[in-house]
Amino acid sequence: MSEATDRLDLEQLLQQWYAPAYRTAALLISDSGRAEDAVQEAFLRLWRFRDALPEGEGLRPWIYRVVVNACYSSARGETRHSGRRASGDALDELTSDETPAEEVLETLDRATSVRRAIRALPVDLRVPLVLRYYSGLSEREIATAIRRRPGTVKSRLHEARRLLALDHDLAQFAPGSPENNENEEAR
Amino acid sequence: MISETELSALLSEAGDAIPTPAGVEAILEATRAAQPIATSAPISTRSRFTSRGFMLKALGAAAVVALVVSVAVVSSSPQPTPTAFHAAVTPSNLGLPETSTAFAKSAPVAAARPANGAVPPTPSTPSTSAAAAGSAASSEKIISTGTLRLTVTTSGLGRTVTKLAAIATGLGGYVTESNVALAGSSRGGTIVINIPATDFQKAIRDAEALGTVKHLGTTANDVTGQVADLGAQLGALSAARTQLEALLAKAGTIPALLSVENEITSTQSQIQQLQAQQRVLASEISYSSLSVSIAPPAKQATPPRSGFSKAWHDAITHFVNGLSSFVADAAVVLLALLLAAVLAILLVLAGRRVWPIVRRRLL
Repeated sequence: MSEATDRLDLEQLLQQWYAPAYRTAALLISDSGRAEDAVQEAFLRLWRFRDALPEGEGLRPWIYRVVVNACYSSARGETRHSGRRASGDALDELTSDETPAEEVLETLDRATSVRRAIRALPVDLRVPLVLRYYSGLSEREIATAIRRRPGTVKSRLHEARRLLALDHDLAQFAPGSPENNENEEAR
Repeated sequence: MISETELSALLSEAGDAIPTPAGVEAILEATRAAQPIATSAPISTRSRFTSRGFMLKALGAAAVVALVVSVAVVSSSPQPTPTAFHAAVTPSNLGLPETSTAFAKSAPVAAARPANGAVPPTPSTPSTSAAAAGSAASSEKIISTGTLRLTVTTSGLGRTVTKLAAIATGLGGYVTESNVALAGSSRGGTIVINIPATDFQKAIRDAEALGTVKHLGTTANDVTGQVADLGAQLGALSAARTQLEALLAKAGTIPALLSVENEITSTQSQIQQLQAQQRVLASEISYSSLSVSIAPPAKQATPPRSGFSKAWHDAITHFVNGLSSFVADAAVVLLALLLAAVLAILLVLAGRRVWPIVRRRLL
């Protein structure tokens, strides 16, 4: 493979996968700087062993597998940490358009509550939850990504949803949650 | 419980609200710095440009130093000696840290790269193995990596993993990563081993013998220029530190003292960073990385059955299914019977204890 082809492939890979991979990592790791480092490390690993990259449907779980592994390494402090902070701010992005301020604040509040609730989950439940409901992987793909049986993934997802349903802050945003149902009945 | 749709919507909103940093360029830059080249390719032009750029910087620094020296000579002493030179630059005007900083950083660079452009020797780094010595003996510094895809029998997956680990340890290396599923529907995985660079080809040959080779790729990243540059920068910074220590002895005021001390701390920090980079590079040069993907052979599609074979196969399938259903149903009945028996026993036992009391009362 020529150098030009390599670079083209890498750029394509980054264009397609960097943003979702970073956001997935940021949901898994509370420190955005560490998330950025982890994703950078993941893409360096992917590029370094690009000959081993599967093609077709196998690519997506493979990429998330490397990203999750890099996040685990980052959480264990095995990878270098540049100490940088991710540039930009959610508020800046949200207020850049014509969205009314109340709506922006509500969205931010909701997003913060969701991220806090996710990070309160044990990591074994957090990873499949984010891969399933944010990254959109199927249970089988998650099983490949985290090297567990599909049945294990299913039970972990169920447990994660059960724990999230007990979160009072999060429950107010989910109409189907028990808390909201109770409130509805009370009214 | 929160529905899957609601959860997807909430997570999508939370995730999409996270601003994505401009990390793509940083990664491209990092991979550009570690651009692999073909094994037989000559030294990359990048390192030559780097060396040339560094030489230009050194020449520029030399010019600045010459200018500073000229000014010092004209303003202080007709016969400049090293002591007079320091005196001209430091004691009276050390309140201007910019001047001393510029001098301290630029002069050693010129010293590290003399006029003939010779690269100063790389400071010694911790040697990790005999391979490091072999690698250091050659003029080129190469980081070799390889990728091997093997097909092995399903039952032989575990054995292959063990043998790969044995190959690594036998050659003085180690396993850096092992992700292999030995059971389940997607068996197989990847093992990454690091072996001494001198035994890289032997490791590949040994690994190839463990199964059917589907793909083999190797890359060699020439970092000779990078190693030389690191050595030059370290030499320059060491010289800068020496100069600063000399200045520290001559600092006459507290601000001057603090200024020079800050410079020394900063220089020391840079030296330590470069030494760390040098150690990492030496380790990568000494040890080659081989990523081995192992997987069982793909199952061949069985031809569709027909005639007697199909009838026999269907009969067996139906029989097994029927038997399974019977066992499942029977299990429910047996469970119910078991519960009834337990209840009956409990009732009899209770009756035996209660009946005498009742009879006594009745009598």
